Amino acid sequence: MTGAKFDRRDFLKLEAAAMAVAAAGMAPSAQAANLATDKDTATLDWNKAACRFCGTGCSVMVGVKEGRVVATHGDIKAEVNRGLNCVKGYFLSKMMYGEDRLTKPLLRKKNGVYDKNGDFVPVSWDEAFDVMADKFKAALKKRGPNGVAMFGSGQWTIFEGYAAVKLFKAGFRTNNIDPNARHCMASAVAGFMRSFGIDEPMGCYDDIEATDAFVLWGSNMAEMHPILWTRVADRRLSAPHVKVAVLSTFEHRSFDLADIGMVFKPQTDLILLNAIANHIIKTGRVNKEFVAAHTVFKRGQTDIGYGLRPEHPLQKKAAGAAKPNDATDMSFEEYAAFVSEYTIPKAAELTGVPANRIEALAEIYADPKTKVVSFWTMGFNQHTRGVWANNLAYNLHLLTGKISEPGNSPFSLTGQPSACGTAREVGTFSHRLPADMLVTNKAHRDRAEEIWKLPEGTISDKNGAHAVLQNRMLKDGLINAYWVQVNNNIQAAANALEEGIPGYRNPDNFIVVSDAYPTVTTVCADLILPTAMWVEKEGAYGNAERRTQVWRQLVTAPGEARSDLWQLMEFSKRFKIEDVWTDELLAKKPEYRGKTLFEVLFRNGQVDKFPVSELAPGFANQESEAFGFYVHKGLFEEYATFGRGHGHDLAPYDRYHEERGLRWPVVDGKETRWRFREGSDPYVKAGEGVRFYGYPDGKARIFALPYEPPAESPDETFPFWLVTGRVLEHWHSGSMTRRVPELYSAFPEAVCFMNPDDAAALKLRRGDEIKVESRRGYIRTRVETKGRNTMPPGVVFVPWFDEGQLINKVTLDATDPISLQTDFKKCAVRLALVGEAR
Amino acid sequence: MEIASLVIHVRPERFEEVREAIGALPGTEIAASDPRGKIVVTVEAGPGDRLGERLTELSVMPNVISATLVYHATATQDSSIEGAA
Repeated sequence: MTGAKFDRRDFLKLEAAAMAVAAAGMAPSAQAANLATDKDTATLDWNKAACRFCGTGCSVMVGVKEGRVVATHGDIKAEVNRGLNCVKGYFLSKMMYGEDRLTKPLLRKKNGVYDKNGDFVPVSWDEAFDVMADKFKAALKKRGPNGVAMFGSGQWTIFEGYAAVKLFKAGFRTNNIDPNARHCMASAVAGFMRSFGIDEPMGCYDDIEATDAFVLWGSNMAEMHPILWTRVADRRLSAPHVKVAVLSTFEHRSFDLADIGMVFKPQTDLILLNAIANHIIKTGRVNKEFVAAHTVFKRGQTDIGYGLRPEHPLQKKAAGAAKPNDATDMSFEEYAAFVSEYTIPKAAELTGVPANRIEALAEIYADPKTKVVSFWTMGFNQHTRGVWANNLAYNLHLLTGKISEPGNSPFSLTGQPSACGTAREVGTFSHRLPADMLVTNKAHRDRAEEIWKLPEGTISDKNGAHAVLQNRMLKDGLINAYWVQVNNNIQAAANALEEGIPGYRNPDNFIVVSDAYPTVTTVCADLILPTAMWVEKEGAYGNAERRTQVWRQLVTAPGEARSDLWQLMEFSKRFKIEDVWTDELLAKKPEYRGKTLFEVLFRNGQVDKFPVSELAPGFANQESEAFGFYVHKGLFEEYATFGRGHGHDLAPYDRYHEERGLRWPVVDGKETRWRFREGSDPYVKAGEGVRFYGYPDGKARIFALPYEPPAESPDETFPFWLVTGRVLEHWHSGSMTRRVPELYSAFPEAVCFMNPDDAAALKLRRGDEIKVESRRGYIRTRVETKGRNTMPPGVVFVPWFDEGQLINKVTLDATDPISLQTDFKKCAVRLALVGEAR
Repeated sequence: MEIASLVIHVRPERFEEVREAIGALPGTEIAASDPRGKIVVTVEAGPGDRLGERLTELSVMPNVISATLVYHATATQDSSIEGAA
């Protein structure tokens, strides 16, 4: 092609093809090989960033031209995605440029002043923060620290989550801060804490290429985690002995690769898990040496209720509801007797899965020669017994010793990009502090107060309000000033009509929502703050395999949009310490008198330790420029103090700018791939082999937990199960992905996937408009009997991305009583024809 | 104008069938393929076309196990580029 003229289109196509061929591990064509020297790529400024979407944690290269992101490609240097990027990566260069991007603060006003029933009017940041500070101060005065609250996100960067935790737990002295990860990961967190005493997976994605079998328990990886699914498919197709088992309450795209596909009745996964444990014991395949050395057995509290309001009849009659997390010691023999009732024939009868398939699945776990990776996401976590499901899955890996080594891995996948890095590790939950510490533990509070240079007793010793409770307290008028960042909770939270919307619109309350785009939640707010997103700011995320990744600010947000981090820190300047702390507390630290929260929390000699001269040349960093110090580095280094030396070690901040992420604990510069295993985890001493050091005795817990029914099941009046979830094209509530016009038209409106025989029995045809109605509310949608999901009789699926069809008006706000996470997968509905197909 | 490239995993026994189906989509070209189950595809779209829809179509096509994006660029078609090598 020397000297040949060919146009930009040809060039880009060749470049695109060359990169894909390389990423696929195929031999490049001679033509493509020449492209590395082309001058056109040099006209773009390329830098790495972690993808903005799911918890997989892909690294992408972002191409910027004239201050705008114009191209992206999968990062070939990234171990996670090896040059690939899922179809959602297509949104990355578009999601920041939607026409309705918010660029000015908007306040509800009538006759020039704030009015809850006024219309949104653009205001300055000063006016926005003045009104907001007045409302927060009034709420603090009226109700004390717990009169204010915040709802954050697993999409917050690490810095944002950390600054928010400090502002609320240390500054306002309330633990009323929770992330939307409560809807998503809380059951996984509680599962880890109960089984291992420390959060997050012991294994990593390297397990995919090392295993002999994959079991998907309630995870549609093909649509929700496509890059990991590509790695699973590669392993399956290149090693013919590898088996894939897929379990769900309906057939979805992941069944295409399944050797063992299993559709079970909702909630009966608990029965399958216990039946497999029983099979392992009955066939003599317990790894006795491992079990004796590394585990103890626990009988969990039962009849624990459904996290409903206390006056709900189901709550009143639950005998174990007061202490759902309790457990007592038991022996292996008692445990074996406990699971012995879960025989395969009985499991087949109760779950609807043929016995031979259950046995084939049980053999994957039982056979000592088969390495197995178990994956799960929302099917387990959004479950009124979600923590139990997590515990029961760990049981299978612990009974057989198939854990913490390459290819043997129980692996909880993550839905949001920093559900692990921010929500979990930083501890933005209402009961947590950084590095797995708890607000109810005096030693943990002391440690946090010491690091934060606060007087003893600053942090409240009571758990704050979690996601579902926040909505209830807003409705009941107990929380009066509320700040929402990086989520769309009116669309995302269950039972919107009875709890969420009345709470936001309660005249006693002032609701602030920070977002990049208008959403259902901003519409329900009183003040909307325009937010910078993704590479419009320096950021850090932590993915599902403990990998911390950092990126630099690459472009500038439009108009007056500012990052959540700037908003949190700037807002803290509006409070004198005397506004929020008592005299008694101030007496212990009189030098703080007269200072602002900003000075106490962020000008503390630690967060402001690094000068702006340390910023990388050629990159903007608006927060650091605004506050006069390298904000991100200071926040990160202070935060990292919590975990270093305690099994959560992070590398020095600057190193992350050089790496495609590192998996913690990072000790002596080295990351950890398999925790709890000697030789891989520096916290396991020579000669110990395996040590589950999350518990002081070094042992993991195997839990005896029974099947218990869901909060609501179909009956004569409401005869169908309703399952909600996502689709490939739209991420979460669609507030970013629905900004891309052609994607919007690809899957513009939610539909109700249902079984064709069910439809025929109700005289419904594909495309008919129907009402999907529960005891709480209804939506109108259309019937879909074909397409990617195949529904069994009696079960319907409606995705939740569509703000025109708020399926969460229909769902029930029942939660797991331990994790307090909502079950979005099970409630009872009826269907009725509204209009015939268009 | 927009250009994207994808790596598509297919069931090896349905390789030819999927190749044909992909070839029939407008704006789509097969850049490389491996009969063990991998196909590299480029997709281009002009101003009126819908690249995103095409990506989804490829992802949910029968016998496609996964379709992953590698590269995506938006560009104006005002420049021609001299071949470099």
